[in-house]
Amino acid sequence: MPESPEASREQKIAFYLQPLQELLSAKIFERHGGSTTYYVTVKWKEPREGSAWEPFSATGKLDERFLNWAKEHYEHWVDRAHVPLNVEKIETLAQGLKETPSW
Amino acid sequence: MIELDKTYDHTKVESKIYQQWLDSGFFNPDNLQGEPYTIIMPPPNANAPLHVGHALGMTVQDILVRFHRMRGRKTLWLPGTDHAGFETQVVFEKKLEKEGNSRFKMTREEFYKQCWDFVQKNKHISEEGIKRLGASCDWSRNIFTLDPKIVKTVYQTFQEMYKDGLIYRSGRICNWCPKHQTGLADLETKYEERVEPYYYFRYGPFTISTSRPETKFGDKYVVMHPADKRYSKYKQGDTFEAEWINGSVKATVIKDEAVDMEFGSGVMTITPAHDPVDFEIAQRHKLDIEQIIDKRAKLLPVAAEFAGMKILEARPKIVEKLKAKGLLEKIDENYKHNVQLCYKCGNLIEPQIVPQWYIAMTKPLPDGRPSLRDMAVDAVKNKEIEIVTEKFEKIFMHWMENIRDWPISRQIWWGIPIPVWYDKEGNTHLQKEKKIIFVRHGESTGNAKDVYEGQLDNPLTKKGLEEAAKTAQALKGKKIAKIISSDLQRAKTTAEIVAEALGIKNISFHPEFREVRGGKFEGETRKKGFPLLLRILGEGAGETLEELITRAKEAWKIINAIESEDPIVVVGHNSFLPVIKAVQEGVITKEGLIDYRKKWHLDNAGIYEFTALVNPEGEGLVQDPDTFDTWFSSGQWPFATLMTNGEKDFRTFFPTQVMETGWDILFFWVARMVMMSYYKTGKPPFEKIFLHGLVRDKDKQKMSKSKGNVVDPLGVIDTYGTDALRFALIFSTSAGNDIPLSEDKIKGMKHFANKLWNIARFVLANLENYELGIMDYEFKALTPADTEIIDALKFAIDEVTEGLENFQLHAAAQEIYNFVWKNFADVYIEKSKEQLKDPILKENTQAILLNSLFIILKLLHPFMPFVTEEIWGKLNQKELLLISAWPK
Repeated sequence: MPESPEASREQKIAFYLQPLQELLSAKIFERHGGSTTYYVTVKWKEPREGSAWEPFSATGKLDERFLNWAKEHYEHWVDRAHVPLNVEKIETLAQGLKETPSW
Repeated sequence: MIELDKTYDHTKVESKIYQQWLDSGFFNPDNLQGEPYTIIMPPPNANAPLHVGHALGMTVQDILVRFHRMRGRKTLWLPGTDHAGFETQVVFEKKLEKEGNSRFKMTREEFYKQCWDFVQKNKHISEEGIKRLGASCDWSRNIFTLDPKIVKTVYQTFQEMYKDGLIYRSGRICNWCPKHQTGLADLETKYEERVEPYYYFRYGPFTISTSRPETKFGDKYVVMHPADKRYSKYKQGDTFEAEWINGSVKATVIKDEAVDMEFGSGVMTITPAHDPVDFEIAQRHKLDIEQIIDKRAKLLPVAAEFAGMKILEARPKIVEKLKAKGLLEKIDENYKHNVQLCYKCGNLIEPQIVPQWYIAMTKPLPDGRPSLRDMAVDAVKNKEIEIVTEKFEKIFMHWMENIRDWPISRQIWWGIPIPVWYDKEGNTHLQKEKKIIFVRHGESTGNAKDVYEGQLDNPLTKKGLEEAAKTAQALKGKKIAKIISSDLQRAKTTAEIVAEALGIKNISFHPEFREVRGGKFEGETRKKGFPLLLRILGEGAGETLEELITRAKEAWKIINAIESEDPIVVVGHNSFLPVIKAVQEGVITKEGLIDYRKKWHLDNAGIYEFTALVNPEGEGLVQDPDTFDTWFSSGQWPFATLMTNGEKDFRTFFPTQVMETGWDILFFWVARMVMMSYYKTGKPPFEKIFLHGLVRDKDKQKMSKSKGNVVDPLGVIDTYGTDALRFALIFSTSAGNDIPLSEDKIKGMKHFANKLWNIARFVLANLENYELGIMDYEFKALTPADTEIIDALKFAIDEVTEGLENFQLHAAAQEIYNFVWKNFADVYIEKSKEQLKDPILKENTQAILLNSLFIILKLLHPFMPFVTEEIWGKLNQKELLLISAWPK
């Protein structure tokens, strides 16, 4: 898919946003009490200083705004390098930032 | 072989060396190790260039600071400048007068602005002067007495003292200067003996006497001593009719012990509104008090036909009228008495009843501590503070014993306004305290990459989330009224994490709290050197200064709208949070904001707690028009300055070690610092007070422009160099004694600097085959001359060290001078010329010459920093002489 050189820019962006979009619409959080705030962390690597690849992360409340940021992030990188965002886990503060609910 | 120029040219050396020191960073104690050693510089008045008295003070302090820095202390010399309220206003008003203007023709705002500009210009000139004197002070901590942080401390102290019942407002009589239109403390007045006519008048059945008939219009009480048998038939409260200046008055008899039976007729009438003794009598007997003279020293309508006249003009006319009425009994033309004058303009003080704010000097503190006066007296008695010399200790004690409550309000415009408001009923309103906790957002994706985000809406990183959670834990247990946050994601998430962890439902998000917009710098890496406001407010800026200030004011309004005694948490950004605080404190200039921002840093999710002082608001509230006596704020200088740079400075550098200043301001300033410091911190502001004398000309005459004997320090520096001036000043300075100074003396010290240069030239010229930099040379067989110079050198080290330790700076200076000139140059160098020719003695001699030079440079460095550093630089040394180790 996005790895394929033929994939369009839009396809690549859509591919990486998909997990976040799924999470957002999945309503999986309801299983965990509904009112609890969940945070999602995405991780990726970026080329820094032109050579070394450095790991970065972003964490936010899973909402449209975070999704928008992720989209902008892709749009920035997709033209420059192949920088996938890997959705690592969602977690709650109340649970000590540890639990990863399954979805 | 290294060669020195033939002669020492200070003009080529001084600014270069000073820049080297600045670049080294060693004026800043953050770059030094060891036990702290602190001197707070008495801030020169920002109203005129430095005079030779400043040069002396700066030199003494710089010597102490350099000596202790070389001894491995973490040395802070904190510079500043003083707005010098009344003093500056007087200077500025003189300038206006010359221009045909007056403050009474301007609005207060106009006057303040012009005076501010005048002071800023002079402040810069005086700072440049301090640098030229070689002062090794830490410019990164340089501060002005009107800096908002200082003003805030002053306001907090005022609030605390008010709440402690130590500050009160009283409508008692004060020393009024009709020219300057302000009340003055006793210290700000002087006395002069004058011979003036003394008049005796008939007043009903009595004879009364006065030197000031013009005050007598309202007199309707006649006072005598209760034990005066001559008047025993008159009882307290008896009344009688008396013919007086403008007709008949009904007078009342008052008996009071304040009357001197031996003086005059033993009977007097009183003018309570214009005489302190009369005022006290009136207070004791609850008598009417009527104002006769206005604040411009003109007679009021009570004086009828004399109304509007200046008192000196009215006096003979009033006497003439009384004489015509047959009421003048006699005139004593040779009456000698002391008159009280304004210390600035020399005009007669006209006592007036003007409400003033006072500090109680002898009232015990509510927490059980003794009064301000007693705390200061105890500190000196118990040697917690030592005054060099003892002579001043006695003077200090005497003054403290007789101290009166201190009036701290002045009716002038240039200064720190008094933070008190009055409503229509005359009730007093103080500033309100608002507790604020600033929290910076956790690490964002932009922080992780070290880019300036401005208003980019980046989320937190994983680390940022954890930081926010940790901060939430740190805030647990605090009763928080509300959380206000920037609506940018990184702040919003941080705020939500804190709110959730603390169970706070009262939370809101506002665009007003967003980070400073970065314009073209947004998204750029910090390595390109921007994120200070300096760049943001410059070319390509995201927000103008006005926009930024407006937004900060709006943000503050949101905070201020919350009425609560519990703290308000504000979650925001590292560049904008300080802007909110600064603007609230009144900083509204670009330079001010940049300076504020430079000294500010919050780590990711960092917490900064503070209490803001908020002006009261309400219909009809009017602020007290007066300003503080400048000594009220400068009395807080040692702790206020150290509190501006965060708690760490205060914890590290307070109490300070030495306060060095002229003896003439022992009471104005030093005593007040001691009292205020004990009140506020429970500690002495300094361990030692070293008072220098006044610089006079060679005939010990006071320097004055009219006598033409003034030495301009900067002019002297141009001609002879800083080192020569410094050494000349110190050479005859013993604590508290006045210092004779002449141009010849300075010239002589210039020769000494040249001598040192020539010595260094000689040593360096004779070092062939000798490795520079070797200091631990093992001496072989020594000649008698070698032994003698080594012994003399050891002796000189001990003597100079002891002199500097014991504030005998002149003794230390004389010791090193004599050693260099006599022992080393005249004797050893001459001998060495022979010894250098002898192949057996040569190496030893070279080692002794070089080692002696090293030590001489070190011992002389505190006194003559420029020439010594310059020579040192030629000796292949890795470190600056400034931080080299003091010889033992």
